[in-house]
Amino acid sequence: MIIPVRCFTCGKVIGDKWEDFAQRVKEGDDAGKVLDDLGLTRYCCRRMLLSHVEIIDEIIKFYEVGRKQQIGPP
Amino acid sequence: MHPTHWGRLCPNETPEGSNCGLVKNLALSACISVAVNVEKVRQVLYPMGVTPAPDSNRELRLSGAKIFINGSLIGHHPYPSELVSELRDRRRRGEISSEINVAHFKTMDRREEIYVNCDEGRVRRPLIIVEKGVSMLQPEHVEKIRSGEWSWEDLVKNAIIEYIDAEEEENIYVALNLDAISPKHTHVELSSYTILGICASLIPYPEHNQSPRNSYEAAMAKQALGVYTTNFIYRVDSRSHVLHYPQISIVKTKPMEILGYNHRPSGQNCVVAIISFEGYNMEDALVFNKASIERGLGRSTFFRIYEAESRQYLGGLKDRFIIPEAGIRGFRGEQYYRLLESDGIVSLEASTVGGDVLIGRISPPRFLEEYKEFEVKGPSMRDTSVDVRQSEAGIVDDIFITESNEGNKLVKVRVRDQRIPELGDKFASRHGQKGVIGMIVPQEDMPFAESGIVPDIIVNPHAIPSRMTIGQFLESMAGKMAAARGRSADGTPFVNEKSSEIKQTLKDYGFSHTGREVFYSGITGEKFVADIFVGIVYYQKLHHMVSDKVHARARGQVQMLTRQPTEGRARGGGLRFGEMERDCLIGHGAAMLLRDRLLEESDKYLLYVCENCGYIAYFDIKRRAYVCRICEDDAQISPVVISYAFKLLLQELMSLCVAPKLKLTERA
Amino acid sequence: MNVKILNRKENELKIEIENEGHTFCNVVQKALLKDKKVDLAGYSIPHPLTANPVIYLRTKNKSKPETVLRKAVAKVQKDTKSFRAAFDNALKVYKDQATL
Repeated sequence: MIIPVRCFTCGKVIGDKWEDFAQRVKEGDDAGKVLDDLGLTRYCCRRMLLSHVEIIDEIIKFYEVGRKQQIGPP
Repeated sequence: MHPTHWGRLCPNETPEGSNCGLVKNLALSACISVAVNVEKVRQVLYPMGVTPAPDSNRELRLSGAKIFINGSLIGHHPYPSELVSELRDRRRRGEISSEINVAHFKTMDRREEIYVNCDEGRVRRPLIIVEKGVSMLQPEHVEKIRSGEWSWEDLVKNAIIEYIDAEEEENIYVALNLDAISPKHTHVELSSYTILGICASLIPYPEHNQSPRNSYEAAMAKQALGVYTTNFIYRVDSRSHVLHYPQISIVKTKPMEILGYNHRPSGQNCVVAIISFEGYNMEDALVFNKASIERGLGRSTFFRIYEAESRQYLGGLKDRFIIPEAGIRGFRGEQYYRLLESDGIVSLEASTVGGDVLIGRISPPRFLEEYKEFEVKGPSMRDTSVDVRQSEAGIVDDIFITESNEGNKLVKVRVRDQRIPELGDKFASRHGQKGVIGMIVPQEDMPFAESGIVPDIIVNPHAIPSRMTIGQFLESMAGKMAAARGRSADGTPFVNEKSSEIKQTLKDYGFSHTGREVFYSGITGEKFVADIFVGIVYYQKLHHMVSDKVHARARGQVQMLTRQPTEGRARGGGLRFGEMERDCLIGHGAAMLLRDRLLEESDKYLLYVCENCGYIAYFDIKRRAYVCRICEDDAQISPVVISYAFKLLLQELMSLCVAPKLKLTERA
Repeated sequence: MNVKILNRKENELKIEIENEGHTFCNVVQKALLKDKKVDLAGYSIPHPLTANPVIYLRTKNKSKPETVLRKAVAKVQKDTKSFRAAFDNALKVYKDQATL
């Protein structure tokens, strides 16, 4: 949903690398190279960023609607 | 299975057990026909030379072909082949509806029949038309689709694709792919993986699996947790699960992208090693990495809705939402109402356990007329509060107060519970390899590789030989390769990245082409003699979690009718000691245990029987003794120990006017 | 670290150690096995979630198990001290090189 803080398998901090990764991949860079540049060598850390979906961006819209209309979760 | 299922019904997606083969699923490209007016079709056929049935002369009837519409004979035609090709050309040109399908049959004795079908309910599938050995679909058409200029309907309108039903499929010759087209072919398949249905097309490398394993996965994919919709905050589904960190599978299939599975995935990519580990992953159990779980692997949340409506009854009486007072009938105890606010509804974010009241409600007594007769104290309210299910706990997530259809106040409370993977939770890969967590092992005890890779899940090698799920091995290697090169792997059925390519890419990135790596024991620190097979496999968390199933009962509620323990976890029931279990005890000769199980722990009952007549005696309050109405003074009343169910049987027989008499003898 | 003696015979000693795991027991077992006076040395963790590890030791002839165990533990302590010193030293050398 939101990028986990650490790689599940080895525990390396990856939460700080998501925005960078997503931005650069959107601009067209090769994902493998971006991962290398970010310093993620083990395939366990690489799969964390490669396979992540930021669903929270879609879910959070419902919270914002609620706040604007004063209904739903505060 | 029947050859006609090809492209129409999924060969793998069907439930196991009683519904096997009866519940079917449509294939990806198949669609159901919609009706076309029969009259219109008739008006098209007659001008084309079809002589209506009553008008055909004997010669035409013998030499010509019979023409049927939707199975009814409408006439005859002398030149059937021309009629059929003309009809099909008109359909491709758009002059007659594309919902119409024509089939031409030549029976052995040269009597030909043409079937025109235009009714609803036929399963049809799209195929690319091939003319003179050349496919009608050319690269420029594909470009037009890619650019958005053309849509699917345009392909059908321009006679590139047409829909074929089961009967017309008898007349065509379909090539499997573009390379196999010869001048004799009339059509070519869109893609071979469209023979599968939705769930089966999620499986990577399914053609390498034993077929039943794909069927199991097709059933389990429907039980996997994910994010079912993004507005779950606002929904009042009676039960729902949400996975905290869903991931797109790194070994994808083409249908996944079409279906949108990559927007709402339902599993996580896990580093999976295949070794026996301390004996805790036998019989399909899985060993999980404790640290991975603590960092969020497999975590999910469970939501449940509790609702209450304040109804109105006859005579102006109605329910009220209020914290019930101590004297009221059915009052549970002060502590159970501690979380309620003044309006009788629990406060948000309150931590609740089984039995805590969420909505305090009092109702008037059910049968008001009875009270009026007896003139007892008068209608007193009773407690009908809604409480948290006995075996569950959670935090109040949200409260919805609204009005029901009848205009009564309706309150719905959603309770959420975080489910961290624990021993007994069920997980499965996409190859029918399901298993329950057998042990959660700290990361330091896990086998480790020099690079620092530690498995998230350890699968027992015994799960592989008899099941023959080679697809899991290929997914594992493809997953490792995909993570290494930074691009997901394609595991689409029949058109996937071949194992030779996977092996080569693994070698390019420095891994062994066998998929194995050198691992060191986490316990002793020594290198394992054999290299361990490890890779990345997509595992799904299924909604069978142990906290929903664990149940225990020592003594508890009994049913009113049979006086036997209640059934079901929600009612605090007992587990049935059934007929076959009874047979086992008889086989052991454990008579006392049998009596214990069936009488003492269940529905033991002392029945007073009149030895004289054999009927049930009853207790006379005035005389303070058991009497038999039939025998009066001759009566000899003796007590017998039976099960209440037997007494119930006697009474049911008595209600049928059958007289069951009991013959008693002295206990030996 | 709480140690409970479960069984003590002529040449045998069985002790239960609270709140430890393979990290401690495996090292001690390996050290014990190197000692020539030891006949049998092993440990087991009855169940990782509910029980503490149990170390079993049997010595040859006249040696007392406690003495042998103390000797083995002392050896382990010495080894870890020297490893720690060597590691710290190597780390210092590496850091110095890195700053150069």
